[in-house]
Amino acid sequence: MASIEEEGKKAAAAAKVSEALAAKLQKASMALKKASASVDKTKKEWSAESDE
Amino acid sequence: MGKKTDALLKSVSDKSDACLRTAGALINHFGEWKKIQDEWDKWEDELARDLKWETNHPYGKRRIAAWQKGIDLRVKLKGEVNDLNKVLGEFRAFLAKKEKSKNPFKSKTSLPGAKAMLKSYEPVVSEFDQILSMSGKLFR
Repeated sequence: MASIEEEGKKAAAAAKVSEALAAKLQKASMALKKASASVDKTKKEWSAESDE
Repeated sequence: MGKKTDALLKSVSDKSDACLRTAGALINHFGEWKKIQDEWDKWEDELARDLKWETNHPYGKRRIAAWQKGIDLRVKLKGEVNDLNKVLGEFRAFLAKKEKSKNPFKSKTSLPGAKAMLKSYEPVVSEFDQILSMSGKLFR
């Protein structure tokens, strides 16, 4: 087990990383929502197409 | 629209939704994890008195439970991103095959539209992979 001092340092670093990752994931999710919206557009464009 | 095309596009849409739901849960959990880490100073003196603070102290127990939840969410999202990537690959292959067929497209907008859709997913999947890799330092 790590010492209390080491755990304290790890906790401080983890707090910073968590905040940064939350922001990054929020941004990536927005981009995914946008990409997902383009699927509906593709469905409409492909309405006349066949599988062959 | 053909059944296969419909099924592939529905799958892309469903798998995107699954990723978005789990990503939302993980975003919230990053916030929870930060709050727990920020509490460290409040408990440090108490924790220093017990070598088994991780299993004995309420804060230690809460921390372990949150850490486990982070692992679970990360693994879930990783699986969902892989599933999404797989179906995008299937659609890409389907598109390539159709492009080579004798009677490929009835509409001029179909192929460019589908290619643009696939292109819009490329940086997203890559960004998710990167975030998942980085989050492995927190939850593993």
